[in-house]
Amino acid sequence: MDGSATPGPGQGHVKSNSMIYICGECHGENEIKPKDAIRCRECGYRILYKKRCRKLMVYDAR
Amino acid sequence: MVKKSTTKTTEPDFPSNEILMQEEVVLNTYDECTDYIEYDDTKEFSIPEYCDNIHVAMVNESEDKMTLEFDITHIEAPIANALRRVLIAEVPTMALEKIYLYQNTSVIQDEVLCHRLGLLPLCVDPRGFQFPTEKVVGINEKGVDCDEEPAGDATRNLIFKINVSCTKNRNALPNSTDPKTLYHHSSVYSGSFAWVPIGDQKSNYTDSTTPRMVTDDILVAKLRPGQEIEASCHAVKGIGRDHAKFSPVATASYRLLPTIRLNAEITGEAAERLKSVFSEGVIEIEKKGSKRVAVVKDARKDTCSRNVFRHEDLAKVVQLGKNKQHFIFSVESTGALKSSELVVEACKVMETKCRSLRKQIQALIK
Repeated sequence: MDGSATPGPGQGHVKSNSMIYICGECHGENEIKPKDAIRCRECGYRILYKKRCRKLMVYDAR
Repeated sequence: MVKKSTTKTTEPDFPSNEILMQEEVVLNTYDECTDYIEYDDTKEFSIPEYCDNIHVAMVNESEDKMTLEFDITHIEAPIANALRRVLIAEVPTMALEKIYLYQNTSVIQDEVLCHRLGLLPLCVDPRGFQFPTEKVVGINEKGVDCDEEPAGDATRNLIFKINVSCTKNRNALPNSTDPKTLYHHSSVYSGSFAWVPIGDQKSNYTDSTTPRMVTDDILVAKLRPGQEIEASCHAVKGIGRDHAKFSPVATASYRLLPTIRLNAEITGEAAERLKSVFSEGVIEIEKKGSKRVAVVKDARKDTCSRNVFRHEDLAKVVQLGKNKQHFIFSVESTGALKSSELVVEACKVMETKCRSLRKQIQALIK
């Protein structure tokens, strides 16, 4: 289990040096490597957000 | 006791086992040493005799057996109320308790989402399960961090998994504005949960008794493209006293059988008026020669609104009451067990309670 606080690669198949970002306009997922342009592939929007990491948390259903 | 002059009734000719309802007051209620109507000081209290008197009659059961109306006569309010309270708070059911949340990118917060999940009614017989071994430790005491999801105990847990993500529907019409056609999984329903058997759990169930949600159309959350929810939910057995999600009934209630006495013949226009002030089906009009006379058809349908006392002429001849020993129970199951089974289970719980009380008293006497 990836326990780090930084959003790692969401699914296992992506290379380790790429990250998934979410477009601020179309909410699509973008896989961005270092030195890539910070730009959504779908709509060209230039504000991207980090995706929440897939980290196990336990809650009481009450 | 102050009596209203509008009613003709006096204490002696009114049955002691009835509550008397007047316009502003209710007389002959339970706080007048009449709780145990059939209790006779002169002879010894006999349990078999008391039990012989109790009569249970099924009145109405819905087709899916989830709602039940039944009558219990010749018991006292404390016992009827105990049965009601046990049904609500002491009959166990299964409910989602620990949510192992892997991903939640929806707009609904983790805590709120998990609370919602807990309230979903599960369709599984709780009698095949044991109570959890340890008490619930609040998330604030241990925190939400969790290294690994426990495997779960086949005799104590049920695991449901949910994994939904919303995507765009490429085939949607361009002028469409409805999220349901624009996206896939824009709404997450309770049907998205899949049961994951632990160990040999699968052999305990047939196709019709497979653990599942009672209904598949309860809205859990709404999603938009890119958002997802992934969780593994562990259900445990519990009772309503601990949390309302464990309560097996949507409602369990009782009321007393209403009584309506017409102390004079009510005819013509007054009869029509009498019919209109009661709920439908309570008063009917019968033809007696040339006269049209009001008769009490079915007092059970009365809501006890006492609307009749607003009519001065009718108030003088109509006497409303409630039978103190006739309890009309209404039980609505949330889906895990049939209502009739719930009542039996409630009686078993009551029996266990009585036995443990007797044990304690016996220990005290020794």
